[in-house]
Amino acid sequence: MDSKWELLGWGDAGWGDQLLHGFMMTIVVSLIAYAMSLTIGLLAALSKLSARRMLRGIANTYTTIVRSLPELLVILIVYFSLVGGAEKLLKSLGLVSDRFEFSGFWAAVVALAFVNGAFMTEVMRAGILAVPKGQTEAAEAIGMPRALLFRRIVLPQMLRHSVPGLGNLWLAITKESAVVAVLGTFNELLFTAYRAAGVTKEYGLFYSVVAAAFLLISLVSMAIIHRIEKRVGRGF
Amino acid sequence: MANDIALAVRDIRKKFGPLEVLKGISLEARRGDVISLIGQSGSGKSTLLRCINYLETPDSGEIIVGDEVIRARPVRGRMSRADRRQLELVRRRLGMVFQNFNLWAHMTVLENIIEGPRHLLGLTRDQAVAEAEQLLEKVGIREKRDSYPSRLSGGQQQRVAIARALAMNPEVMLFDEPTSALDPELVQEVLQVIKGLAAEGRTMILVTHEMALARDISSEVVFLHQGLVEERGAPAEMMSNPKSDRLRQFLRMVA
Repeated sequence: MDSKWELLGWGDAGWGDQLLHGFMMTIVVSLIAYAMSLTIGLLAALSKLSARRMLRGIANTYTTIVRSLPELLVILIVYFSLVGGAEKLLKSLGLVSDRFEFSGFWAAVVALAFVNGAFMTEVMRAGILAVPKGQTEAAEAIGMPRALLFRRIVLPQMLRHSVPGLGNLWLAITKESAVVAVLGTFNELLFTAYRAAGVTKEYGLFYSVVAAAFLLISLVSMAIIHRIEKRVGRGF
Repeated sequence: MANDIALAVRDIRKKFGPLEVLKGISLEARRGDVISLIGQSGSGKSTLLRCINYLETPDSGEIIVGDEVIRARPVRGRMSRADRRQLELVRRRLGMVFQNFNLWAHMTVLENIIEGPRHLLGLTRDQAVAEAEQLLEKVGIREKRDSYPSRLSGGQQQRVAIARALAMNPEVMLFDEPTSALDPELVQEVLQVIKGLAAEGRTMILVTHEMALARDISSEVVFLHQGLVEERGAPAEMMSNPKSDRLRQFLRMVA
């Protein structure tokens, strides 16, 4: 029994430090990818609701394609073609040196954000549409410019409708960061445990630890989401 | 005296699909005038009011506020940046009160009132709050300043909505059936506020089903029928001595 716990210790004998590093990687990748997908989702949602046909077309194509393909496939495509293409483009523009290469970390972040941005788009679009027309008309009637109207009226009210959906996507993204690990480019939590289990043959131990860690992330997240829900629900 | 005219509506026409809701309507309000628009539902009176501040875009005709003609001619919902800017500035001179209040649900009473003055008129928070408190006093609801609209009765919400519109110092107030969504016992408190504004000499355009109110405060009553002005005139004369059959019928129905 003692020897098992030593496997989770620090230093050469134990995997504890690697697991903690993986845990932090999972959280950091998820946070950055989530922030990026929020941005993508907001822009795409506004495009879908835009009067400009071209913006609508681009946003529709994006969400349709990403939502129809298996996540893993999209991640592979983004990682192996889009990221490579972006590297070539940056090089040909002379913005970066010839040896420049996106790190596996950033490639994974971009892939995750690209996939989740599509789902984010739909959550946000629904949230925007759920804001009653009278709320925006009252702002138009006092001559509020559109950008201010969005920031002061639509966004806060949209959040009330969107927070449950946005919370789900956050939980999903923490888990999908484990899928991105198949790219083998950085050591997040599950991948680290997979290696540790392979070396030590203590599958039960390591996978239980990882399960507990993901559960912890979820529980903390849910508590935070609940508080945000209460905050944006004020007045309703 | 052209600059005596606060608001002019010239030959406004509006179609919704094949349905012609407004078939060419003109109005003129001098400063201090109160014009009541009456008529059956579907007569176009609310649409006309919403055309005045371009919440509905008229198909043709002109809206002139003071001496400024609204230029906007949106094409499929889009208008040029300059026209949009002009419309925003003109709208600040028109206060709108809606049938369903439309207070911003995520803001307290006070926040609702200071929103426009702070962000559009450039007042500091302190200035805006000081003015808001005077307005809340005026509509008799100061103790509710930190409540959210959902905690207020309809009558209270509508009084806040009136204060919110007044906070922008509009030249003309537009009322779109301000008491129609209220429980009967709450109508009076809102009518009192509207009467007070009329007594102050505010220029107002009022869509209403409250014939007593129209009779008491209007300088002109306009009776709309199927998108046209059927009859217009001084309230007492029109209501006691209607010329058209339709107005006679209408008055019998609402009496």
